[in-house]
Parts: sequence; structure tokens; C-alpha cells
Amino acid sequence: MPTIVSVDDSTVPGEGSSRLLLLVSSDNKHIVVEEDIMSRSRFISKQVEGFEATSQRHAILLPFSSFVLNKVIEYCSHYRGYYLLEDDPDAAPPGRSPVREWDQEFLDVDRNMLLRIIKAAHYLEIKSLVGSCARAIADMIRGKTTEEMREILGVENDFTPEEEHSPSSKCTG
Amino acid sequence: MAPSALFSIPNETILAILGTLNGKDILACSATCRHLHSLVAESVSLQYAIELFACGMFDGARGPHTLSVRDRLNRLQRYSLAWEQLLWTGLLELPHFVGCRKPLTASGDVLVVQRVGGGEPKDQVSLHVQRIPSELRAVDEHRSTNTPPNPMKNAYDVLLDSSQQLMINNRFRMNSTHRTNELYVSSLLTGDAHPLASPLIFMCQTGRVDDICGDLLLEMIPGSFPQAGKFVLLNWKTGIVQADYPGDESSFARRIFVDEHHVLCMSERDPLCLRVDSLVPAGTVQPASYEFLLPEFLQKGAAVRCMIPYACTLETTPAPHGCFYPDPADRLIVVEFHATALRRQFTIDVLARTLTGYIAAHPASPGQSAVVVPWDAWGTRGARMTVLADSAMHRTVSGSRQATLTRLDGPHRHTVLTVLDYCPRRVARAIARGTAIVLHGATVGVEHTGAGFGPLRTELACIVTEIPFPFEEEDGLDRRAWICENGVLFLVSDPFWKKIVDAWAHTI
Repeated sequence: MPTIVSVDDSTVPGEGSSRLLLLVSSDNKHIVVEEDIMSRSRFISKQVEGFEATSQRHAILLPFSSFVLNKVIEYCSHYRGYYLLEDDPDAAPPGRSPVREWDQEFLDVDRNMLLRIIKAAHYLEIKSLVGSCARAIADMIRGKTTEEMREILGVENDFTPEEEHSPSSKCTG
Repeated sequence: MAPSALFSIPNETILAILGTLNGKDILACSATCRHLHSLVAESVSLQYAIELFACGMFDGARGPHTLSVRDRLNRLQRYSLAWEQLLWTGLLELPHFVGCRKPLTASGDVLVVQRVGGGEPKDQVSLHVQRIPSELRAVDEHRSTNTPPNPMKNAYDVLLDSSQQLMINNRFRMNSTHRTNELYVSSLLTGDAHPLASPLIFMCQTGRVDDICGDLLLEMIPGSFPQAGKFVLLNWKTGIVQADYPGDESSFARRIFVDEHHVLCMSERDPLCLRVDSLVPAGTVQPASYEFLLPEFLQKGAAVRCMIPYACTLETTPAPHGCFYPDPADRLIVVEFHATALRRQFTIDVLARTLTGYIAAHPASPGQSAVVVPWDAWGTRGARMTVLADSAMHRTVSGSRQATLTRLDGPHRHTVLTVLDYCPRRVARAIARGTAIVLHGATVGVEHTGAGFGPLRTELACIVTEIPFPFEEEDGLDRRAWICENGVLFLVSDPFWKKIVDAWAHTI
């Protein structure tokens, strides 16, 4: 793991106001990305605010792989400059996240990848991506039986046989 | 995938995933493992989603004045528990019913009884309308007496339209050549006469109106061989006969379900017949009307394009052969009763069919008015419940709930009221929580139905609750229970329903 790397502001090309960020993934890949793109992430925005307060810019260490990080960056690049209601901290949260066709194609990946993306999106506080992933995972289990859901989600049945047979004891909700 | 992969993501995110599912899927998911189960049990918003699902509701409420999700959940749970456990807050005494004749009709939360005498002229007939109050639903008690301006003895058809809050009172007058019907329409809320029809006078061959739905009245005119009978549909707001189409000599329409385009008639004969007609364009019947013999209808899985409106559920006494009930989840619930006198046993077949959802998604191709729904798309399959009862004294149905008054024999003879709820969504939830189905005095067995119905699906069981009848046993008196939206109404009368001796209502 690298120690905190200082990025000198002078290395940033003066293209408009968009500065560069250095993101470091858990597999130690250094990815440079425009700050503008990542502003959808509340986590990154807060980090950047922190930089401004201390006038020091650091690499941001992220606890997931570059593969996942690239996927998230792809998402953020696609919606660069777009207003998405779910990501607006001031707007009332929508009842359900809207279906976006591009997201559906983008998230047409296996369940492990989906879980990794949603975890990353949660960490980075990108609500719109969390919503779209949640919908994609829900689509996989919708209408399935409990047994099929266990299979799909990779969950083990840890109820005791007694609990299984008397749902009242386990289902108090 | 390692078992823990799902749980490597934060609970908050798991809740976001579950939040996009419907109540049934949430319940299925909560049964997969302990962790998911406790997450679901502790989440107010997921419990609310389950409750909404069970009620067949969507909550579109947004705004500063709506209750919090927790408060809405509490109210919904109170309402369902009130039904599931008959935990009702009020026992309402109805002394003004005493001395009245038997109830004419009940619908929604309104009951109409008839009183003869007590006015001028001496045999003056009046109608008492009683609305059962509900604290939970903020419905006030309302009572009114309607004395017809032109009293005609023993000529009452009272029909309630709970969707429009109207009472339709049909009376007829006979002279040597024909019968004239007078239709009085009044508001159930204010008692005022409806401006469009008071009274509407029309010629009617049988002198009876068989059913009402929305603005349409159904009159069934039985044929006499070789002449065929016919159905007449009259729009009482316009006075126009909307449909006049032939039935056959043996058919007898009992129920109609109508929306602005379609009429669904259930007629009682052997075998049971379901008939769906189109009223397109408004006011005319399409030349091709469809008629299905029920067994064939079910086997083929074919349905014509039809809509079954929820609002037109009227209280009826179950027919010996069967009844159709529309349900909020766009299903047509078919309930069949078979009585076997010898074993004092009756069988209820509950068949829930999804018609409108499929038809909405797969509309008819141009030029065709019928949609054939493939068997696999029909959703929930049938189940059969066999109910052994000592003696069912009275049975009444409202929506997807059925109330039966049963007298139990034994050292302490007493009467119990059993409420069967076979609404598939509520049952699915009750089963997932282990709260469905308990019985005393009657046995409910659930068995697979014969060929063609496929495997039993759990949601076709029923929720059974019962309460003791709140009156002392007095031999020689009739006891009846009527079920309405807000509770169950009990009436005790003399043996021939000449008058009501006592009346109470259990209310939510």
C-alpha cells in the first residue's frame, strides 16, 4: 500500500476549473480522474472540501479494486454534468429510483460484480448508482421462491429445523 | 460465491435492495436466513411495504401533512389486526333496529332495514339506513329514515351503490296490462334525492331489479319455453336502455360487474356460466357477445377482454353453486360452494384468476375483441377448502371475507362467528408470519384440486378467526350476522323475521 501521496497542484493542466484527483484502489492502482467527474460522489466531494480547508491535496485511498473503480468512473463519466434527482442532497428523495435504460445495460454484469459495485457506490455515496444497482439485484430475485433466492444471493439457510417448520417463532415481524 | 458476499455490503444497502421489491418478495427474502429476517423485521419501511401489499394498496402520499411511515404502518396494522383477530374497539348497540323487519341489503358499511307501521297510513313502510361508524377510518355513525312519498306495500328492491354512496329503491305498481317501476335514488350520506332520477319511471316486465353496478341496473327476464329470456341493462341516470340482449330460458343473472366498456354477468344455472359482454361504443352492445361455460372457460384459460371493477362489491348471500368476487389485485375470485347434506359439510373452491393484468399487457390485435390468456399466465391456481361445520346458521360474504354463524353442540351450546378471509395477499402475508388458519368447531383442510389446477399455492389458504356470539342463547330466535367493511353486525329476530328483537354491531 502506498503512503499518502501529495499531488502538487502545479501538475494539473489548467483546463477550465476541472482539476485532477488521484484515486488509489485496493489493488494499488493509481487512477487519475477529473474532479468534475467524481463530484457526483458525496464522499469524494467531502474529501475535496477537506483539501481546500487544509490546502493540501492527497491521493484518495479506496477500499475496492481498480476493476470496480473503473466501472464507477465509467458511470460517473456517463452522467457527467447531468442532474440526477437522487444525488441532490437538497431534493426530497424520490419514492423509487427511476429506471434508466443506460444503467440497465451498464449493470448487465454478474451478481458478484453487482454486489461490488453497489458496495463501492455506497462507500462513495453515489445514491443514483446505489438505487440502480439495488433495482438490478432486486430484479434477479423478484418473483422467486425463498429457496431460489438463497441460491441467487448465495445465502445459507441458518434457521434451525424447528424454526423452519414453525414460522411463527421466527417471523415475529 | 461465499455465503457472506451479500453481507459484505452494508445493511443500509441491503435495505435499499429489498425496498424495491413487493411485499411478497420481501417476505420470501426474509425467510432465507436469520440476518435478512431480522433486517426485514426491524425495518419500518419494509414492514409498511408488506402491509400495503397485503391491503392491495399503493401509497402515493407525499406532502407535509401526511403521517410518518411509522404512523401509517401502525394504523394499517391496527386495521388488519382488527380483522385478523377481531380486535374491535366497539360493540355498538342498535336499539332503533328493534321492531324492524329483516335487513334488506348491506353494502360497504351501510345496512338498510325495513319497518312496517308506526306511521300514517297504518301500514306505512319506511327504510332505516344505518352507517356503522369507524374510529380508525374516521367514518361517523349516520342514521336516516326514508319514508317513501308514495308507499307501496311489499314492493321493495333496495340496492346500494357503495362506490357512489347511493341507495336505489325500486318499487313497482301494477295495473291490468303492465307494471310500472319507480326508481328512487337518494344519497346515503345526506338522504337527499338524486337530482337526475327521482323518481325515474320505467316499464319493467318482472317488477324487479336484480343487480346494480355504477349507473346500470340489471333486470333479468326469465323466458318461458320456447321463448328465451333476456337481460336488460338500464342506465338510471339517462333512463336509456343500454343493452337488451337475449339470455336463454334457463339462465338467471345474479351479479353484474360493469365499467364504462364492459359488462360481466354471472348467471346461475347448471353448469355455472360466466358471461362477458362489451358495451362499445357507449350505449351499444357489440354484436358478438361471449358466453363461456365455466368448466370449459377454466380449462381453456380463455378470457374475453374484460375489466372487473373493485368498487362494485355488493354483499350477497352465497349461491349454492358459486359466486364471483372482484378483488383489488385485479383478480377475479371465484368461490364455489358445494353442500353435502349427509355429512353436513360444504366445500369451498377458491380460484383466483389474473385477467386484467395480462389483458392490459397483451391487448387484442386490431379487429379482434377477444384476448386468449394462456393457462400459464393465469397466476394463482385453485385450492379447495373443506369445511366441516356442525350447523351453519347463516353465511354472508363481503369482498373476499366470509362470515359464518355456527351453533356448536355440546354441554354448553353456544354460537360462534367464523370469518374466513381468502384474499390471496393477506393470506400470503399471514402464512409467512405463521398467523394464518386456526379453527375450533370447524375443520379446514386444504387439499390439491383435481387435474388442471396445478400445484397448490400457499396463498390460497385462508385466515380464519372466530368470536363468540355476544348474545345469550334463547331458543326459538333466529340469529344472523352481516359482515360489512367496518365490522360485523349481529341481529336476533323472531323465528320468521317478522321483527328484529336485538341488534348489535362489532365495529373497528
